[in-house]
Amino acid sequence: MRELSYGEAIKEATFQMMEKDPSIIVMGEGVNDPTGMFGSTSDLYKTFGKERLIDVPNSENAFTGMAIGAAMTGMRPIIVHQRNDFLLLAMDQMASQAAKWSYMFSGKAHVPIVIRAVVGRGWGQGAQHSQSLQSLFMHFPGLKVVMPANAYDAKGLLVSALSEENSPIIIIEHRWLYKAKCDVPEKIYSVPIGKASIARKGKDVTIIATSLAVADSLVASEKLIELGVSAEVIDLRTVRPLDLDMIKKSVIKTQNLVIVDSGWKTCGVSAEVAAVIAEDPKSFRALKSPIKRVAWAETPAPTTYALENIFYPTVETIVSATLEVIKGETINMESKYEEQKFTKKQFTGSF
Amino acid sequence: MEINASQSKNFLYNLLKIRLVDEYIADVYPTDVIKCPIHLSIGSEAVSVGICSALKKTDMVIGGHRGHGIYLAKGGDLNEFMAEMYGRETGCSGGKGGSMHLISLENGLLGTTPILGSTIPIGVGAALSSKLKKNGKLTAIFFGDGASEEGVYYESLNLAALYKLPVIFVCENNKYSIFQDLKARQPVDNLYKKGEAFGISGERVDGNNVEDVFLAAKRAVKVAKSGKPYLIECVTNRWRQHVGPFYDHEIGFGTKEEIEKIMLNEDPIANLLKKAKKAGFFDDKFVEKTRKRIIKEVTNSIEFANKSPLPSVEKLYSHIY
Repeated sequence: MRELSYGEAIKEATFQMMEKDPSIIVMGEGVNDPTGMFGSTSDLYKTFGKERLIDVPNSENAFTGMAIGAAMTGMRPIIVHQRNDFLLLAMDQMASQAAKWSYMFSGKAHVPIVIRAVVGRGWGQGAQHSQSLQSLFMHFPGLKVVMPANAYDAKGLLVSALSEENSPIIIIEHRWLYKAKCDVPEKIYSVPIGKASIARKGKDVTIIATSLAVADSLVASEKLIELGVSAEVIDLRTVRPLDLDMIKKSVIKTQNLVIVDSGWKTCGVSAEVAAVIAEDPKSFRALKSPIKRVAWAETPAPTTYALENIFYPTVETIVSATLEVIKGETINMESKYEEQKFTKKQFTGSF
Repeated sequence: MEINASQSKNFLYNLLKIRLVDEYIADVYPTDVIKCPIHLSIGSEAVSVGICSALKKTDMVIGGHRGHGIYLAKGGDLNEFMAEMYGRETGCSGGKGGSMHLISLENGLLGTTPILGSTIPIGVGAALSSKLKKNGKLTAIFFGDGASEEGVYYESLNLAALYKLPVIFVCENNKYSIFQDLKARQPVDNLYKKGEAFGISGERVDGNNVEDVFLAAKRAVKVAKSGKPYLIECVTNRWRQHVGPFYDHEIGFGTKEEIEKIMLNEDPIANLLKKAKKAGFFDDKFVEKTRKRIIKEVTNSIEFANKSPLPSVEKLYSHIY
């Protein structure tokens, strides 16, 4: 087996699926530029031409609508945004048109678009270049929201989105994961949308995480082992629809729950997961201690690193939150900045 | 290009059909058998009829909240239309759409939805499909003067021109956005020129004259087929209130005299009859025959709707992913 980075895996999935399915087209601001969406679309136009790799004008609202119109007339467009933040300019098209089209017309038409959007965090990206908007989109019936946390899933989930689904699908990718590598099969394979995965088995506590928070939670679980705590890490992979079976089963087994999201708490993924557990009698009764959530500070993202470092939760935050759940007491851990993000070491500017 | 008798008869049938269907809806609406907002096409029938008559069945159209005329002019099934008004399972949208969400894919109507301007880029996308597939289909995008104030319209004009797409932009200018006059909303009265900055040619036609609209649409078809979008502004009127069955003056806006003057002088059906009779295309007897034929169709559609079942409760959760 060979290793691919997250970005390479996305590009490979796109390439292989475009070869197989001539209806797939890609649209985005910068899909054909030298950096090619952090490498995920670079040079694809050399194989498939600029008719299928459309480097669009700065019209997020209209080109999303254009993709929707193309999707309902037989194409399979992929939209790519270098920052989640720009999705908000296309909100009507995503939330009121794409999400509802099939339902409004009783399934007579479908909008099979894939919207990829990268979380731009890092190097002082600030309030409007680093948002992660999964919670906003998971609110809407009719959308599916996917958050791959590793290269294997990034490829497999994109393949599923392009071949097995009729619904609009939003894929929230994280820039810090782009260089993270893992084994990725060369062949086309799919990872089902709507299924979580157990990233690490454990028995004392369930840590449910998304995207980059999965990577952080896995590092945290290593530290927790040293402290005598066996954590089960669940990678949600899809946040709408949630894999309720797997979440409940794990909570009933470990009887403790920590939820870590790369986003805000209020009305967020962590709020939804906590509510699902609180509403399920078996899961709720199984809990030995209150649920703990780990998420961004309830502020916009600050630019200066002095504040950015405390805005985002760290491996230490996850470890101490987990210990609090298990032992019922707050533990102050010394922050080891160099160690706290395995990906951060691989991440540099130029932005 | 000259209009012939057969085209003129088709105009009559379609104009009268939209008029009689919407008049029935307006009459019955106060009894609450129709439980959804309605934006009637009465007074502006010539816009959809003129445009759709110049298109092939396989050409595509898309529109906004005032969609009855578009649906019927593009050949949508009347029974399914009426059942949709009545919220029935047999409706064109299975009862889940109502008046504002009409679809007839077999006739090229991709859908109508009420967020102003929202279907404009979707229509552009349909045209992008046609271009990529080289299937020769055109797309006509219907929107009102109100929607022309949305930013997405200008983004869409840019995209359509940039990618040389076979699109006809049809601006149905009824001069009001709900109650707000166009003059209070736009500094210059030039809706047909909105594409100029993008290199899109446009023209203004009398939207109460179906022949004029049809001939403009024929010119637009020619341009669109050459890979250039085209814009037609059709100046017309809505006789009834923005949403609902009444006249504006009945709810405290404008005067009875104003609307009566419009109904007397700017009636698309009267305009057609005048021309057709002068040309000798048909006589009063034919008009009466056509009216009777339509009334029978409307009666049948009401019966169809009344007999049709309401969607069963489990339908709430169908058609969702």
